[in-house]
Amino acid sequence: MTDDELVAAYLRRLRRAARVLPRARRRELVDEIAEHIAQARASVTVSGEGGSEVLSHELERLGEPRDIVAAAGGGVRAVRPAGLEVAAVALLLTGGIAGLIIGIPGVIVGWGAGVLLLWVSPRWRWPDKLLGTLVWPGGFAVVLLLGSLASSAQVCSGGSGTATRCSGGSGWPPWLAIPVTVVAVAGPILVAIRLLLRARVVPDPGESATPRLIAS
Amino acid sequence: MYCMVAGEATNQVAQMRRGLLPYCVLAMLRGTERYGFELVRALGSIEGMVTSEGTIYPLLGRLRRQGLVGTSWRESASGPPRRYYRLTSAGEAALADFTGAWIQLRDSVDELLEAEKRSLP
Repeated sequence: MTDDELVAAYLRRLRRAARVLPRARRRELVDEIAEHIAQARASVTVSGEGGSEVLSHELERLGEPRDIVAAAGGGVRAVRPAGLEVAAVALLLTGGIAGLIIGIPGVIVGWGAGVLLLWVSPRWRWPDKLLGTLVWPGGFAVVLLLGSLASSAQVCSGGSGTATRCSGGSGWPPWLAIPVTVVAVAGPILVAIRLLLRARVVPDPGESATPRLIAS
Repeated sequence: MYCMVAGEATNQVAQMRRGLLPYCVLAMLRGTERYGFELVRALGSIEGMVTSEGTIYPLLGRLRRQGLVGTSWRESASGPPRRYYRLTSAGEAALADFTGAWIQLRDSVDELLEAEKRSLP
């Protein structure tokens, strides 16, 4: 491994560990550590000491990326999603199904409650909240609805004794219906998984160690 | 009631050190500007002050957001441009406050510990 690769690998690990931090904080931290390494390397070049051993030693002195991120307030508060978050995700996925039975009010009550919990929870930041709201409104109910529309649009002909033959009619041809179904089903599931993973970290827990004096 | 056991003192001292570190950073910037690597290396060279130097950067970020430390970029004769850290007037005030409180606390604790030592046979 060359020196550059060594540095790149270290910064990659730092970036990965720093995912729990708010974006601005993450960028600032990675920039500063990258600068530190550049300055350390520059000072080594000036003093004429050589080689990767010096660089590895420098990286060792910096410490484990996850320790640095923990000092920035990330990672220390990783917790399991609480009841509210689990309920939000469950309602987003399945809440709309009530709408299939009792109509629009069902969607509002079921899926709408999920959206409300999603936006109320402090565990998610707004991009995730928006994603949870938009993919898909109504959750699986919409998938079921689309599925039933697509199949009912198929025109079937043929009676007893002859083989039933279904023509595509205005229904979706298989080459379109299959990928659409996969996307429609996978969308809410992937978003649900993402939301549950994100709910494990309380955002922005950092600023606790304020150097304020108790005595005045 | 909190009960202190032998061995826990190490942990307590580690916590105290963590609490003192921001003031040590402010103290190192008193009357002088330092760039990241230089500041961190100086702090890292003090015996028992920090275990991993990288953790000083999040602290510097915090001090900057609190307005106690300011930064500015400067070209360097050798290598990339450097981000210099300096004390702001709020930082100087915080350091002065701390210095007074620290001296008082240190003297009181020293006195107690010395008295304890004298009373032992």
